[in-house]
Amino acid sequence: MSRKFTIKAAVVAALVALIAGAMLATGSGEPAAHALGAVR
Amino acid sequence: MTAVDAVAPGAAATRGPVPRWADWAAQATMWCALPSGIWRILFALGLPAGFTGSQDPANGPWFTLPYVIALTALSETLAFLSLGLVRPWGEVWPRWVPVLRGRRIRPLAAIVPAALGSVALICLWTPLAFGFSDGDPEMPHGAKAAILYACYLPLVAWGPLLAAVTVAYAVRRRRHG
Repeated sequence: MSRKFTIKAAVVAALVALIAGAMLATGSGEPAAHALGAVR
Repeated sequence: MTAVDAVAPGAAATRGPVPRWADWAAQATMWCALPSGIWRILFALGLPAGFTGSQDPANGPWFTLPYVIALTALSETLAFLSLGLVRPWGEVWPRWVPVLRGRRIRPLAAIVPAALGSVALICLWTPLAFGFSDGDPEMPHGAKAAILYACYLPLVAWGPLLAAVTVAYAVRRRRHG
C-alpha cells in the first residue's frame, strides 16, 4: 500500500470519526424541535 | 516557481504537461464531495442528525439507506471522473473498457459534459454559500444545523473547481492534441 493511499485513508477515517462524533455529541436534536413546537 | 514546479508529477504520461494547480483542483473535487457523503451515510445509518417528525429517517421508507448509499457512490464517482481531466485515461480509453480500449477520447466528449456538470453544480450548490434555510421546524437546528452546514459547504467549491480543471483540460488538448 502506498504512503499516499495510507494518508488518504487515514484522513477519510478521521473525517468519519469527526462527523460521527459531532452527531453523537450534540444529542438527538429533539430539544430544539420541541422548543420550536415541532414534536408533540 | 520554476516551470518544473508548476507541472504535476504524474503529468508525463499525458499529452502535454498538466499544471500542478489543475491536478490539485481535480483531486480537491473528490474531497469536496466527501464530507456530505459521510454525513448522509451516517444519517441513514441512524445517527442523530436533528431531523424530526416526517423528516426523521426512522419514519421514512425502507429504501432510505440503499438510496443514500447509492447517491453518495454516484456523487463520489462523478467527482472521481474529474480526475480524468488530468490523467491519461481522460485522453485514451483505458484497457479495462471493452470495445473502446485504446481509442482516443475526443476532447469535446470530455469538455462538454464536464462544462455542463460544472454549471449544474454551481447552480445547485452556490446558494449554500448564503446559508441554509432553517424555516422548517422538522429540519436540524442549532449545533445539528451547523454540522450539516459544515459537511455540505465544501460542495460550493465543487462546480468552480471542475470549471477550472475543464478549462485547463481544454487548453492542454488544444495545444497538444
